[in-house]
Amino acid sequence: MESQIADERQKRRFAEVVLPHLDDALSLARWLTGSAADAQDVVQDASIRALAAIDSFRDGSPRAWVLTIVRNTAFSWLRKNRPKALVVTDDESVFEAAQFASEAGGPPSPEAALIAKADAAMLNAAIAALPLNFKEILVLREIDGLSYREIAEVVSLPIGTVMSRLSRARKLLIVRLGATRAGAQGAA
Amino acid sequence: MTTTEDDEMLLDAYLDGELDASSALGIERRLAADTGLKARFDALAALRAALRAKVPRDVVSDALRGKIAAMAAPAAPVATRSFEWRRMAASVLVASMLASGGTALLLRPGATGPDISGLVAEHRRALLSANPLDVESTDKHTVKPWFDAKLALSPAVIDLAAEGYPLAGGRIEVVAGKLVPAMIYRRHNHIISLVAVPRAGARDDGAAAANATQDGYAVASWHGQDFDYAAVSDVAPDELAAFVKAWQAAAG
Repeated sequence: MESQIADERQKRRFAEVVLPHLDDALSLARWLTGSAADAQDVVQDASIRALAAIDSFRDGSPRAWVLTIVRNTAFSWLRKNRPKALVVTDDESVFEAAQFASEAGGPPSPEAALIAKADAAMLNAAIAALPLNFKEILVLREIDGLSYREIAEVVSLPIGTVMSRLSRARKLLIVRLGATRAGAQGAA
Repeated sequence: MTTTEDDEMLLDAYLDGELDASSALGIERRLAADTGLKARFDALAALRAALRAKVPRDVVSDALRGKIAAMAAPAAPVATRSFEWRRMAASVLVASMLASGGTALLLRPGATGPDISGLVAEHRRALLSANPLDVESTDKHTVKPWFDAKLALSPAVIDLAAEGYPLAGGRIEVVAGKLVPAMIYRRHNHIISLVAVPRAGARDDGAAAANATQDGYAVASWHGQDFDYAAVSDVAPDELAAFVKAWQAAAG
């Protein structure tokens, strides 16, 4: 026990580095686990890990460092509790599906208007339906507001891959939100 | 003009403010000339606006924030472990001392550091949270390894279902800035939190269970083999005392 007890300097560092980013941590954990209660467990576990590893944070973005730990903790949780959620999605097949749906849906001109009318439930459902490796990048960018460089650090991928997945994630959302709306109107 | 995948990534990067000035200028010129590209960009911008307006960032509850902030709280000052003090504490029976390493833990209202108020507050906070348990299990063989994995600590996890106190699970609490295991038992509709603080020093046989109440919560504390224990609950003090007796008997 004694070895894992943080000394006062480590605690101060933890307070500076970790505490300001708990809301971002919770957002990421909730979107990855899909559950508010499980997200709290993940954030608490991640905080314990962060305190134990606080000396490994040197400089750079504290938020990216914290979210890296939260992401790893969330993936450990998923491996244990939702192994099916971790089925790796092939980037190309997702993109081709989106491309096809986009073209089949006709000209993209009214998309902006349709998206503007989407309500919170539709947006949440659309994000939740994204494959995990696209969803995490979209959430880091749009909900947590990280820069491309920070996202690349959190997910340990080259910036080019981050850009490509972000672009495809948005495209999937646009297609889905446009389709939902068009379907609703067609039924009416 | 057809839109390539690279164009789309450039549009995203432009939207995200990640392009340098000359690339941004190039995109702006193309957007002015290409209605297809402009429609794509409008859709991206609309998506961004919708997400910002309608998908809020999660906010950590005060309970969880308090718990995590407490990990970074300074440790309580080391109390004097004088015989005089102990005799006094025993005589007024509101205080007991849980020593953990060099840090003494005073179970006394108003004392600095984690006192009865702190334990009661943790107990109450857990009850208010969505789920008072970090691990939910009536099986001690689940709860004990869970503590071991989380904290590298293996407190005795005793099942008292036969005595009328079924195990509900476990939780991590923060005492004096340290993470310690808490076992959660049920008594009818009530919850009993049993906090185990590891003790580095020798066993202190001198102290029997000490009892106190605060804000309607009963608190009992005693010294075990390798841990010091404190039980907090909203059951009646004599009922908590019975729980402690049953627990100590089962612990041997």
